[in-house]
Amino acid sequence: MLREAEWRRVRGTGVAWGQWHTRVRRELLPKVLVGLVVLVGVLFYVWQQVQVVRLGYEIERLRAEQVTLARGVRELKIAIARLRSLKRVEEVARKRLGMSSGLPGQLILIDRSQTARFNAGEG
Amino acid sequence: MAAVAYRPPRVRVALVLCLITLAFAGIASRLFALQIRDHRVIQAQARRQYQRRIPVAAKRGTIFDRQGRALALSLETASVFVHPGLVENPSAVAGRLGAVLRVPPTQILQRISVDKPFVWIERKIEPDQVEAIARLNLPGVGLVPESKRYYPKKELAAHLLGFVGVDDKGLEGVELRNNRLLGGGTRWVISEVDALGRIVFRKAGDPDPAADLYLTIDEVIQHVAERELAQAVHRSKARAGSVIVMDPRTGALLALANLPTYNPNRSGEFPAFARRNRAVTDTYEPGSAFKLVLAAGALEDRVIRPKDLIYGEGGAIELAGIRIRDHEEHGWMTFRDVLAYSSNVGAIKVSMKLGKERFYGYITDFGFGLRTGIDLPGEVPGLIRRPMEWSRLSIGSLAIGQEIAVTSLQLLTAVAAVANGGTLMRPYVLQATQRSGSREMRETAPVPLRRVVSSETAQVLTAMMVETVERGTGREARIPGYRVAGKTGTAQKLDPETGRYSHSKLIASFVGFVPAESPRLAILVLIDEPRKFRWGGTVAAPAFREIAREALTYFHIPAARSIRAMPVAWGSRESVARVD
Repeated sequence: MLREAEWRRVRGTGVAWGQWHTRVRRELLPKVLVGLVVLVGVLFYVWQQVQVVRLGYEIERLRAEQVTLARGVRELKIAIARLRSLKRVEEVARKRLGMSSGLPGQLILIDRSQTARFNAGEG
Repeated sequence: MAAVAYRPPRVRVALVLCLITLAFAGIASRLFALQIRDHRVIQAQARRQYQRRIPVAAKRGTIFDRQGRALALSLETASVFVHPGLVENPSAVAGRLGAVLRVPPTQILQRISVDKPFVWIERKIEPDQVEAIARLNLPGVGLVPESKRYYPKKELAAHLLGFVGVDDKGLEGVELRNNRLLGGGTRWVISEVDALGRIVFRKAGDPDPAADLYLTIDEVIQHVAERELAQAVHRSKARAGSVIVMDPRTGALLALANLPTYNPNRSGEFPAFARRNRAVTDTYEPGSAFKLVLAAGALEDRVIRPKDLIYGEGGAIELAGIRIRDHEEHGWMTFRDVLAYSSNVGAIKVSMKLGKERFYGYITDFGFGLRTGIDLPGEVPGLIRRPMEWSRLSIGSLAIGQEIAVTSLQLLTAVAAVANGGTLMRPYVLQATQRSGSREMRETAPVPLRRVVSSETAQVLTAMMVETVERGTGREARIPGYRVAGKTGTAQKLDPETGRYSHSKLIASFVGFVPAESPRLAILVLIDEPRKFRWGGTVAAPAFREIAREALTYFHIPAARSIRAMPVAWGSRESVARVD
C-alpha cells in the first residue's frame, strides 16, 4: 500500500510504471520471503506446541486407562490367589467332591535316577 | 524525463521515530521489570498456577512363595479427605459422602465440624466408592490415591509375612523387615495442569518401582504344617504351638506356622498374643530334645561312644541335694539307649564326664544364647548362663534341657547342623528379590556359620536319632519306607506363682529330619501346654510324621533310596566302656 501511495506521488514525475514496479519487486520480494519463512516458522512452533499439549492430554488419558486396567489385572490376580488357597481347595476336595488323602502304600515314588540307570542297562 | 528525487517529510518522520523509540523503551523497561527485576516473584506466581503436586500411590512389591505363588499383593485404591474450611454445606456433604461410603452421616459431620485444615474421612476405600466420590465433585472433598495390601491366602504364613499399617508401612514379619525394599506409601509428583486442573505434563516420572520378594517358604508345605499343627493343638487341647520346616542343607525355611494365628487382612482385630511369631520371639526350656547337643559334644570329644554302658541307677539320681528321676527304671544301658529312651540319669552322667566348660562350648557353638540371624524381626537370643554362674545342679539340669531358654528356631537350626554333616547354617526366608519390570533376580546365598561337629560325629548321632525313632520314644514319628532321625522333648514349664516346675504345664516337642541318610527336611513341632497326649512322643511326633510324609511326597523323595542301611561304625564289643 505504501508503495502504491508513493507511486501515485511520483506518477507525474516521469518514472515509468514498469521501472517502478521492478524496483519495488526487487526490494520487496526478499522481505516478503523472509516474512513468509518467519510466519511459517511461527505457525510451525504454535502447531508443535498445540500438538505437545494435545499429546500431554492423550498421555494422561492413557495413563489413567493403564492404571484402571492394571488395577483390574491385580484384582483378578487377588481373586485367583484367593481361589487357589490350599485351605479352600482342600475343603472343596474333601467336602464337596468327597476326595481323601492317599493312604501310606497307595502312592509309590520311583527314584528316577535308578530307573534311568535300569533303562540304560546298567542296573 | 528526469526523475524527481523523493523528499520525505523530515519533521514527521523524526516525530514518528521518537514515538516508536519511546514506545519500545516503555516496552523494554516493562520487560526488564517483568523478566529481570520481578522475575522470581512472577515465576513463583506462575508456578503456583500451572504446577500441582499430584499424589501418586506407590505400588508396594508383591511377596511370592518359592514357586512364585502370590502371598501378599497390593491394589490401587484411594482415601477420602476433607478441607473443612472449604466445605460450604457440611450436613449436605456429610449426607452424600455417607451414602457412598456406607457410614452414618452424623459420624462424617462430626469429623467435618472441627477446626482443622485437613481431616481424613475414610482410608483405603473400595474402587467403586472412589469413582462415585470423584463423580460427586464436592467442594472441599478430595481423594488421595493409596495402595491397599491384600493377603489372599488369609491366615497362611501370617506370622511370617506380617502385615502393614494404614500408611502402607510394614509393621511385622517380612513386611517390616523388608519395608524399604518393598516400597509403597504415597509419593508426590509435580505436574503441569491446565486452567481446569487437568494434568498436561508430569514433570517428574512415577516413583521408583519397588521390589518383589520371593520367599523360601513353600505354600504347600506351609499349608500342611498349619493344618497338622491345628490338628495337634486341637487334639491335645493345647494352649499354643509352632512348626518350623527347614532345608538342612541351606538353612532355608520351607514353612513356619504358629497357633493361635490371625488374618493379616484384619490384623487390628486380633490380640498381640495371636500375632506374635512365637517360633522366633518366645523362649522355652527344651527338655530332653536338648540331649542331642550333649550327645553331639560328648561324641565329638570322644568322651563316650554309642555302645558304652551307663548305669541307670534304677531310674533316679541325686544331684546337689535334688533327686532327678527317669520316667521308667533303667539298669545298665548303652549310650544309644540313653538317647533312645531319653534317660535323664544317663544324660546327667555323660554331662559330668564332658565337663561344664566343654559342654558350655558346644552349647554356644550350636548357637544357643545367640540370635540365629534369621531375616525376620523380633528374634530373641534365648538365655544361657556362663559356667562361672552355674550352680552345682546346673550341669545336670542343662543335660536334660533345663536352666536354658531357647527358641524353636535355635533348636531346629542346631539339629539341622547334625543333619547336614556338622555345619551350622544361618536360617533365612528371603530367597530372591526382583525389581518390578526387571528380569534380574538377586538370589540369597546360604550362609554357613561354622562347623560345630565333624561329619563322623554327625553321622553317628544321626544313627542314634534313627534308633530313637525306630525303637525309642519317637516311634510315633516313623514313616513306612523312610528312615527318620529325631528326638522327643517334654519339658516342665516354670510356674510363675510358685517359682517351681509345674507338673501340669508342659511343653511337648519333637525335632528331627528325614531321610536320615540324605536329609532334605528338618522339622520341629512344639505343642505348648497340651492337656491330653502330653508327651512329645505322643502329641508332637505324629504331627511331625504327617508333615514329613506329605512333604516327602510333594518333593518326590522316593523311599527306595532311604531304606538302605546307614554305614555307621559303632565300635567293637571289646572297646565298650562302663560309666557307673
